[in-house]
Amino acid sequence: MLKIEILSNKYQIKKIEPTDQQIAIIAEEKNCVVIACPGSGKTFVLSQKIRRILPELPEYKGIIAISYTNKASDELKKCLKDGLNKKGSFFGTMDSFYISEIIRPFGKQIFKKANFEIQVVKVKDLSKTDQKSFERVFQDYHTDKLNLQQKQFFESCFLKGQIILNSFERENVLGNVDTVGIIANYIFDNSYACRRYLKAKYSHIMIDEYQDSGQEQHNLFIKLKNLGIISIAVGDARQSIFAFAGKNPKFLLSLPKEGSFIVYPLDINHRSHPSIVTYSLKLLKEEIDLPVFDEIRVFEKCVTGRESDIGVWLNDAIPYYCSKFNVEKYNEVAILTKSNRTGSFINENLDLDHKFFINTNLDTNTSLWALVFTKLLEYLFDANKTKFYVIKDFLDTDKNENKTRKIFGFIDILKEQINDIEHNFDLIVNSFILVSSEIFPQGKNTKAIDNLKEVLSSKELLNSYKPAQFNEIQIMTIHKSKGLEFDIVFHLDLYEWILPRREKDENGDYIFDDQDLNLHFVGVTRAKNCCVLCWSTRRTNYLDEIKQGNKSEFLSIKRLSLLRMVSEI
Amino acid sequence: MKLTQLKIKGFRNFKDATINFSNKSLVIGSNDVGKTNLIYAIRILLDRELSDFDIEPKDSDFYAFEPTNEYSILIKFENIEEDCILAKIGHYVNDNGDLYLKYIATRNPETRSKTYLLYAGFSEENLEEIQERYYRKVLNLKYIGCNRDLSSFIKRERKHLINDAKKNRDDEEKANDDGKLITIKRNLDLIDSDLNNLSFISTSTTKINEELDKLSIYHAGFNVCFDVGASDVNTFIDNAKLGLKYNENPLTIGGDGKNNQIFLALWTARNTIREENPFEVALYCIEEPEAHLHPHQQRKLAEYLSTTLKSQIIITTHSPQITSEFSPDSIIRLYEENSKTIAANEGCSEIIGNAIIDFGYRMSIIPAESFFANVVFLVEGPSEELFYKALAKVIDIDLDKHNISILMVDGVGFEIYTKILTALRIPWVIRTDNDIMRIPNKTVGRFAGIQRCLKIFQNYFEDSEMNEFIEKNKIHLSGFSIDDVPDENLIIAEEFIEKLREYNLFVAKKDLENDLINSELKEIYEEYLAEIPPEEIENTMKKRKATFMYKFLLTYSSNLSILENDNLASPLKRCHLIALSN
Repeated sequence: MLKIEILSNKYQIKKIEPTDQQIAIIAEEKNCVVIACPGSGKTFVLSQKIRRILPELPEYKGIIAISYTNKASDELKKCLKDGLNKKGSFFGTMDSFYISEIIRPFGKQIFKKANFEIQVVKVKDLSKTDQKSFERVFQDYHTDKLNLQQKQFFESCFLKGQIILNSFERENVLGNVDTVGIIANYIFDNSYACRRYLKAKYSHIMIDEYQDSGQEQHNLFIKLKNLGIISIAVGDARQSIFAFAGKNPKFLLSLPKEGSFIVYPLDINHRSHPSIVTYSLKLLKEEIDLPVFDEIRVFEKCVTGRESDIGVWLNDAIPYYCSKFNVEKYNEVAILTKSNRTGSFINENLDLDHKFFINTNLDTNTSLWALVFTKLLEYLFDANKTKFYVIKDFLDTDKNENKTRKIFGFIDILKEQINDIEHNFDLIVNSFILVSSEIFPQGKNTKAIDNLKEVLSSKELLNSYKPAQFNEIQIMTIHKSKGLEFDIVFHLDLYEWILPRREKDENGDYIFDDQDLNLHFVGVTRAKNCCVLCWSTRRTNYLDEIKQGNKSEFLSIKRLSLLRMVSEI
Repeated sequence: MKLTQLKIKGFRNFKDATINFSNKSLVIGSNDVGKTNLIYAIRILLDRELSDFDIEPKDSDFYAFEPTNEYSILIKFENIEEDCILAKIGHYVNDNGDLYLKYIATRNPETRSKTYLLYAGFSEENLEEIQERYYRKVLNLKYIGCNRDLSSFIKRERKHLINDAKKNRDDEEKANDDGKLITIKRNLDLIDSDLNNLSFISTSTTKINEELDKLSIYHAGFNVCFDVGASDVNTFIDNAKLGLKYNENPLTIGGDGKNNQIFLALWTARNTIREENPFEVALYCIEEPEAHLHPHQQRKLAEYLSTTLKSQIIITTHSPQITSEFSPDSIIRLYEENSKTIAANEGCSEIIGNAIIDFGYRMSIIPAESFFANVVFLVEGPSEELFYKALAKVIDIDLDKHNISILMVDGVGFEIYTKILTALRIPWVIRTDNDIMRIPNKTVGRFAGIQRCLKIFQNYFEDSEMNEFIEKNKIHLSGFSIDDVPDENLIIAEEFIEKLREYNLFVAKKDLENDLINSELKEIYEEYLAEIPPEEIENTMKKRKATFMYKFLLTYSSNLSILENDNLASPLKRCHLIALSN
């Protein structure tokens, strides 16, 4: 068995034995896609993989290790720092790779020679006329098939010494145009010298957070793979929080179809029972070869009647399952729904002690500021949470000591102010804004601010940010349950038309929302001991009409039917 | 990877020179013309042994014959395909695999302070400044200069050789060796104790210890003694000396020649190991490899260097033996013109190569010697060669001092030589017989010798007046009766001969032997002939010209001084003139 040592902190060496799954990934020599769950030890696996590869390379070669943010790539580098010779490797973000390894050196072989020093320039810092031309020329574009105007635009910028960076926090239609990625792909396609250089220098490329990949990054990744560079994509289809930025887990999900990628799940979700883990992964990918367990903890239940009848049923079902699986505290039980509407039905009909966490507009707002607001609210109402909790996902506190102190200062003030919302309303909103501005200065989102005000103005909505008592069963939307876990989960709303949501397009065909598969996956994986998938024979739609309730397409997937049992109660 | 071109401006002997290289290039030229400086220019950019401090410009590096405050060295590489080079410096390589490196030194005219800058890029117009010669790890030059200190080289290299060999052992060999090492250690310990038991050894160390005792109380318990140098087995092995054995009997390592060969063999062995490894691409530069070597050995060495080392090599040499082993399109001849050194035809060129292919066989040594000359006198055959060498002596033309070579074309024809020599920018002078040949299937003849020269004229010279004359009169050079050549033709022929002299093309009156008979030397020549039976004369003269001439010169060479003002001497004097004017 492969034993690997890591430094967990400066003063302690912990011997960690990687799991079979982790070993398989570390040892894999060909192209692969790693689908990692949170808490699965992804950074550990990546760094061990890098440690295995580097010593075998000649001095002049290296690997490309791409992380989504500078913070993440610094973390990866830190994992490797104990004297490991990185040789010719590149650690950084995709943008910095584009610029330093493709655009700067080979741009001048494709475009004419620039008379100015090459600088990276943000779109918003261009002259007004240039911004207008940018918007005009890029109204409509196809990656890898630039028209003449678009090529000329880039060329003229290059000659002026400008590489244009379009930051994704812009909120306009063209906020999605990854200019740097487009130019890099163009130069790569047209410069033999560039391709030959990359192939000579790099043996492997690893891209983390692949679920957030955009079209251009994906294109380049495939092109590098086709050059013969061993390619590894790591991602989690369920974590895509940057949907608004035009990033889409579809690229991650498309990799297995490319044919030359071996898929590895990395999912030691120590939390969940294996049968639940298996179920969740099989949901995503049928080819995954996973052991089948004798004891199945995924159940299905069809209740005769409507959502309210499910609530009634739950009055008996919950005690039954709790005793079956030795769950003592009711707050370890969650009832997850897709919509508030279903949640409120249960809320009205469940007699047992419970807390209904209303899904607020702030919960569904995926902008950066909304995330910060949510974290702040959670912190303010849960004595168990710390200030670090608020910012740890966004900021490297070690590297940003001053900023961190400043933010903590604002949070302390906010903590005082929150005691009297009525009188301090504007001050409170302002404090929220101050914190977010420190973390994401470019991310100002007025909608998020409105959503926040909405929450602050309503006792009911505020309540949903307070944690449940130990004896309260938790009712919430799947969205809201992200990152949480419960011993027993009752997953509702599994109807056709609801989850997955479907619409008819102009031809009368059904179109599905990709994100719904992710949502269902999140719902299932919230469960540690037991997951009960529920629907009913009738349901209520958004117009409050009673409709026929047919079980969700997700429950009709053949390969999954063997992995669950019918509920005995 | 190939270094294809070097441009030097303002550096030492070089005002503005372009030199092209081939895969195995030979640099020839007279002493002090700048061969070592040319190599040094390349070393500045590529030699790992030259530190940043070493490449700081000095006043003596600036071209001295004109006010110069800047010099530059530009190297062009082509066909860069090797991964290690691409990975390290690929940003500056274009689709074709071209790479340029440049060094520019500048001097401030007022303060006299000097500095340098380095550049890299994929074309001369697209050079970017770089801070260091960081590429030398993967792309460099390995240099052997003229001063080859074998013993210190062996000291350094021996360690490497031993270590390389150690690394390449398999596990079994290693285990065996480890066992043997233990035995050696035991043996060394034994020798050690035996050594110290020799009475004279133990007495001498006792003396030392007694004195030390008196000096210091701390000496108690310690003992000075001689040891075999064997306290550590590994040190012992490291200090093993490289020796030479003949049939198990040790010899001192040879004289200079053998040392040179050992040196080069060691050096090449180390580098061929490296050639197999793709972590580094090197080009090799050796100055005067022929040092101390017998001619056959020189050829052997040239062959060895040229075939064993697969990489690009640049050799400077003064040896015709070595030159004759190289392909002529790889010869770079440096010469001086108006206080600046340039490369003939900008170095390696196809022109020369094509000329030799006409040869049909490998160049021999004699033509190779002519590449080292400042002027070459091309003559028909061995008797001319003998004659003119003797003549030069007596009329005080020192051939060696002026670097004049006399070369017989002997059946191969003048044109091949004129092609090569012209390509190497070596001036030549021709003397040919005035032979009249029968036109095939006819009774008439032509002035073959004159026509021969005219052909050469038209290939190498442009003169409209002369061309006109030729057009007008060439008809008279053929179609006349051989047995009785009409005066008309003779007169025209004479005019042609006169005019051709201007172009260094000398036609005999008839041929050497006849010209001698009809010269002031007539009496002496007849005296000589008188000693030979008549029947033999014609025979010998026609069939054994050289022997005939040799025997004649043996006795009569001092008489040749009479010919100083004869037409016979003109081509030789012309050579002298050309030599003096360069």
